[in-house]
Amino acid sequence: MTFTQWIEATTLSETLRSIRWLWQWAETVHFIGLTLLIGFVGFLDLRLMGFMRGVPISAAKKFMPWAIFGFALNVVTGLSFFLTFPARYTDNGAFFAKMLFIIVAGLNALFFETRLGARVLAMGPNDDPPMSFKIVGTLSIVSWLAVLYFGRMLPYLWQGIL
Amino acid sequence: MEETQFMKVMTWLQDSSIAIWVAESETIWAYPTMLTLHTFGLAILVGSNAVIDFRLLGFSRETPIPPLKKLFGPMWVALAINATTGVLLFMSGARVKGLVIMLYVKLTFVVLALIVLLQIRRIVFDSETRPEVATLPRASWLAALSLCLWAAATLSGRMMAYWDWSFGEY
Repeated sequence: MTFTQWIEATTLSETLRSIRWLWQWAETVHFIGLTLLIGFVGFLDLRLMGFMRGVPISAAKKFMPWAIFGFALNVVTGLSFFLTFPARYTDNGAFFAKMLFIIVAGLNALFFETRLGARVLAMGPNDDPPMSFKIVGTLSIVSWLAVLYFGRMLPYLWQGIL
Repeated sequence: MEETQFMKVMTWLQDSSIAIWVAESETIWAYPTMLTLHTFGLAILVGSNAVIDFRLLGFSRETPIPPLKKLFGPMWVALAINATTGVLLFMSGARVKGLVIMLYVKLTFVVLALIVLLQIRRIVFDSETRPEVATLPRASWLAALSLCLWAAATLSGRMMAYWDWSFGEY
């Protein structure tokens, strides 16, 4: 029995498959989650890159709980997709590319929070951010847009790689 | 059966060379890329609008409101991308999509959300009054309405793919 078959045989997977319209509602919530995530993270990223002057970086960061909320919605709904039809994902290259970019974006955010976080408070609302901030902001927005790209292209790219 | 004028127009759209390319080309640059660009546009337009809405609802009060006006640039670009990709996606299957009721439901919500966005722009960003105007109840009501309309547009957009509620046989 493969890993995919094992997941499909679990009671949870069977139950999810039996709920009518679950997939469609989960997709809708997944789209709302990605919109919140890209909207709020993108706003902070633009400020880190030096745009949106006049907004203190610490103020843009105050929206992050909503970005995390959007991400949490997508973890839950994403898991429901995976558990419902694991075979669509376990041999799909775009899925692995998507997971890779989530990890890159996550590590980048962690680096910003732990290593650069203390410098944020010292900055004024109109300050040009240091190069490290610009790099973090650019890497963040590029990674999240890559997550979106590989997610939406998942049915069309690199299926059946295993 | 005699085809209606409407279906003749749909057929003409669907048989255009650009529609055939979007629908039938083997490359990922056709239909899949149009869908993906449409999702990028959604995230940028609605995501930026959500930042403005949440601020008007009172989150992150430390964020000054006037600089948020700069978000309108990316929002209009995203709207243009979605109008263009939306028309192309429609043309690629016009005979079916022209009858899908959820499409018209979605377009209604999108138009209403854009009207609300323009209202927000007028009373919050274009007014000569001080930014405190944004804390007026009217601005936060518009912000809440904006979020509801975009959520409804997203829902009906998704349901276009699944709910074959239509104006007739296709």
